[in-house]
Amino acid sequence: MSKKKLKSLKKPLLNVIYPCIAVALMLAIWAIFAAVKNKPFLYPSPAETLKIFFSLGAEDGFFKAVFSSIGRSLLSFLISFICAFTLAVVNSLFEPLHKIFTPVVSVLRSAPTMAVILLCMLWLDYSSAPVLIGFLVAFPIMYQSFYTAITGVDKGLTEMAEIYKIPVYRRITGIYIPCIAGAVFDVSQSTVSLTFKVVIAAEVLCYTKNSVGFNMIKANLGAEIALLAAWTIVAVIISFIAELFVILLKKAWEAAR
Amino acid sequence: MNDIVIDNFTFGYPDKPLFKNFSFDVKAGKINVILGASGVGKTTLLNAITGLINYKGKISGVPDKISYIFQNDRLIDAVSVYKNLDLVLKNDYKDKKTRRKLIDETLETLEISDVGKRLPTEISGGQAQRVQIARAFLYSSDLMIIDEPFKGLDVALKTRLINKFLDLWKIDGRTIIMVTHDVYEALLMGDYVSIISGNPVECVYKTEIAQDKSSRRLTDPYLTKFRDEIIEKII
Repeated sequence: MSKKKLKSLKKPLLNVIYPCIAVALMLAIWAIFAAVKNKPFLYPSPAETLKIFFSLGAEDGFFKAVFSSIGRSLLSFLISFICAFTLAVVNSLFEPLHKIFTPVVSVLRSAPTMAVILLCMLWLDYSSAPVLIGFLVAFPIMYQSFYTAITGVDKGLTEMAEIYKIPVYRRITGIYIPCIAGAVFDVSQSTVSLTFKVVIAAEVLCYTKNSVGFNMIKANLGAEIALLAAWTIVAVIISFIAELFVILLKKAWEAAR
Repeated sequence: MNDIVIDNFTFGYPDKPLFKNFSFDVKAGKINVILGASGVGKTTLLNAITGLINYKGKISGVPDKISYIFQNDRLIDAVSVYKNLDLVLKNDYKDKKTRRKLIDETLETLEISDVGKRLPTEISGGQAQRVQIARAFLYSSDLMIIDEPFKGLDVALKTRLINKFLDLWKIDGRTIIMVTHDVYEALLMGDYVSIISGNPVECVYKTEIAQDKSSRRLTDPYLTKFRDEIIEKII
C-alpha cells in the first residue's frame, strides 16, 4: 500500500480506534471495580452484563418495548422541534410576543425535572406522560437556541438581499435556512439524546408498560442488577443512534452546501 | 441610463442635520467617486440612494436594479461562493447551466476560479472582495455602488483588483458611484471626483478627469495636479 493511501486512511481509522479504546477502557475499569468489590449480586461484571444484554433480543416483548420507547422519544422530540421552531420564527417577527414568552420558557427551563414528571403523572395516562415530560424538557432549550439563531442572522445580509431584490422565499431558503442550519443541527444533536434519556426516566416513574423504562424498574424491583445494567446499555445505544442520525444529517447538509 | 440627481437631500437629527438641502449629480455611464473623511456621511448618502433609509428631498434617476459592493463582504458564510453568486442570478436566468457558465467566466476573469466550492470563511479577504465584485457585475444592474471596497488591502493586491474591476466595467459601462477616502483610488478610477465634507455636508470640490483610465499613472503630471488640489481641499 502506498504512503499516500496510508495517509488518507489514517484519519478514518483513528476515528474508529479512539472510540474503541474508550470503550475498552470503560469496560476495563468496570471489570476491575467489580472484581475489587467482589459482590456480583450488587456489582455485576461486564462479562455477565454483556451476556444478558446479548440475550435480551430473544426475550418476549424486547423489540416491542424498544420500539415503543423510541416512538415516544421521537414523538416528544418532533413535537418539541416543530413547536420550538414555529414559535421562534413567529416571535422573531413580533418582538412583543418573544418578551411575553420569555418568562414562560424560563420557568420551564428552571422547573426541576422530577417535579415536572410527578405533575404529569397526575394529569396524563402512563403512556402519554413521558411524551409530555420529554417535550417540557426539550422545548425550552430548542426554542431559545432557534430564536437566538434566527435573530442572530447578520442584518447586513438582509440589507444585501433588499438591494439585490432577492424575493422573500429565496431569502428564506438561500440565506436564513443556511445561516441557522448549523445551530439547529447542533442543538438537535444534544437535545435528541436528552429527550431519549428524559422519556425513559419518565417511563420508569410512570411505570409505562411495554417500554425500556418499565423493564428497568422491573429489573430493579427484582434486584436483577445485571439485567438493569443490560437495559441501561440498551437505552444508551438507542440514544446514541438517535444522536448519530442527527450528526449524519448534518454531514449530508454540509456536503450539499 | 439617466443621470442621478440628488435635490435638497436632508437627513439627520432635526436640531443637527447630517445633510441639509444637499444637492449632487451622478453622471450616467461614468465612475463617480465621492471622497470624504471617515464618518462624514458617505455611507448615509449611499443608503439614501439605494432606498435603505427614509429622507427628505428628492433623488431621481435611480435605476430599479442596483449592485452594491459593501465595505465588509456580506457573503453568506454558510453556503459556498458559487451559491452566493447563484442567488443573485436566479431572477434573471432560470437555466442553471447558463448561470454556472456566467459565474465560472466571471470568477476566471477575477483570477479566483478555484474558490467556487469553498465557503466564504475559507477564503482570504482579498478573494472575498473579488467575490463581491463578481456578484456586483453578475447582477444585471444599471447602477453599481461601491463603498470603500479596497479598504485594508495591500498595495499590490489593490492595484490588481482595480485593474480587474476596470476590465469588467469596460464591458458594460454601467453607472458607478464609488465612495472612498483613498485619493489614489479616486485618481486611478474616477471620471468625476467630488469631495464632501462639513456639517451639514456640502460638496466642496468636483472635477472631471478626462484621461483614459488604462493610461493613468500616479506619477503623471496630469494626475498629480488633481492630487494636489484634492489633498489641499481635504486638509
